[in-house]
Amino acid sequence: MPYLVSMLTARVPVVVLALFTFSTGAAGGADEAMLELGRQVFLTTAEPPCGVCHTLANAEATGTIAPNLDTMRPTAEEVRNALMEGPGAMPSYADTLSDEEIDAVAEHVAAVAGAE
Amino acid sequence: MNMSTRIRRRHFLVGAGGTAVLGASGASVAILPAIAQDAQGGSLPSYADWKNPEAMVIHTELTLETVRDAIGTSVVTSNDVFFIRNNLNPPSEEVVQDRDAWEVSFEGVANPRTMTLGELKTLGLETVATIIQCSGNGRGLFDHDASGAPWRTGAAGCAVWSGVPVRAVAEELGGSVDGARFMTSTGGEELPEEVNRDEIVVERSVPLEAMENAILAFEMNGAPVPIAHGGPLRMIVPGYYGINNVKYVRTVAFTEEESTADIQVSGYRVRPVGESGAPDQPSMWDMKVKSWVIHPLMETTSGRVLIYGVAFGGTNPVERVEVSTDGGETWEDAEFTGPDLGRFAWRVFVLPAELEPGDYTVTSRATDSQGNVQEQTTEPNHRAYDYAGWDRLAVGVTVV
Repeated sequence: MPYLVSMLTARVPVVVLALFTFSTGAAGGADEAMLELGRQVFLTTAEPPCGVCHTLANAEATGTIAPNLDTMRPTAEEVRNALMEGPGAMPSYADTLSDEEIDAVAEHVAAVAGAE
Repeated sequence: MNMSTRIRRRHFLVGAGGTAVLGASGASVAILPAIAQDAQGGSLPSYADWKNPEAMVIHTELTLETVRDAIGTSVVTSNDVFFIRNNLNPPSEEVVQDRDAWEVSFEGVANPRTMTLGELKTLGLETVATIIQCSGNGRGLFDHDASGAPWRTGAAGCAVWSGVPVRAVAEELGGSVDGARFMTSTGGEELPEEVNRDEIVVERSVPLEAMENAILAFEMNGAPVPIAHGGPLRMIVPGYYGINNVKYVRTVAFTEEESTADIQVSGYRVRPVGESGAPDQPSMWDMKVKSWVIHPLMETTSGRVLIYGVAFGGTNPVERVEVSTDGGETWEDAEFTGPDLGRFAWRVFVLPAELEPGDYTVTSRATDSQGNVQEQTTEPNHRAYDYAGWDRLAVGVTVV
């Protein structure tokens, strides 16, 4: 039955997502230095700094004009895409941050969003 | 699994277009991670907690999609199921404590000045039915991994808006200045001082001729415009993609050039995948001809089946809708039902069919008054704007 097939197939990404999120957390590909770099970029290096517009408790960021990242809990890939593209009213950081910095912010946000 | 869970899951999959279908083009639609989106979303955000949770797919706090069949057949989409896409967080409840005190500045007119909504209401009254459709509606039907909410069909709704005609305001203020080519509207969100205004302001320019139909709307479907939909005052540009219908509108300017805001200069520009946005690319202004089926979805009983959905032509009236049950091999004309609320509204169409048990690929194809036919497929564009192809808007239906 297509309905059952759809349900079963739709379950797969849940598992994939869960593994992915785990693997991009502090216990996975991102070491402490990278996460600290991500925090620095989030708060100061990025222009404008992410925390001016976004709330992220771990970084003590309280911006209110853009989505609350603790509620949103984006994956590292979603943060990376957003930084590159600048969807909607968000600026793109593709030309102002290095690939390393973008990766670091992505890993940092994915690791700490919603954790506190 | 109890019944409640079953219904929610079914709605979710339908809303997310989670069934693979095979169109005449032979392109199958990938089954997208519908449940993963649910995990990101959670409950309704406080500013929209009055929405019907059964009818909404919550992508993020600022992106709430209407489940495919929840738009119903009454032409008008009720407020409690109407989709939401905010570019910035909505302002607080304070902005609707005294709606008539809301101020709007008018620039690029002979006598520029600021007026309250109360004053504006003395200048004229007009009501228009129009579709609001997010530029990214259908993003989830593209194959490339574009950033943004993976909307399927539900980032669109049709509402009746009442407000003050912009042309009446311009006339009151001595007319737009010579050389004006655009109408530029600015949202009233309070921006952080540390940020360069042009980087995040919601400000959109549309061609000046759009002013003829534009209204400053204070009422949506018979109710004061909710904050979630731009209240106390929203610029409504009939037939134009949602982004141009600026919420919490604070400034309206008639300008020689388009806005210098990023959201105008490089955002909402249609370009090939991999290219950066630039002013010489087409802007997401007037919408294109499009339709989709909302019933049946997934499974139905054999015998007489009513196939119905919605169709529109952007700024042109929609004139014809055809329906296919075999993925576009053969087509049959559907009939319009319900009232015609004007060229900016969608029309509900219906086709009775006799269906034997089996699997069907059901889709629709609209034609507008200018002869523009809904495309079979939508070529990828970088930001995955407006998938209007009837191939992937199709639904796979099992008749038992």
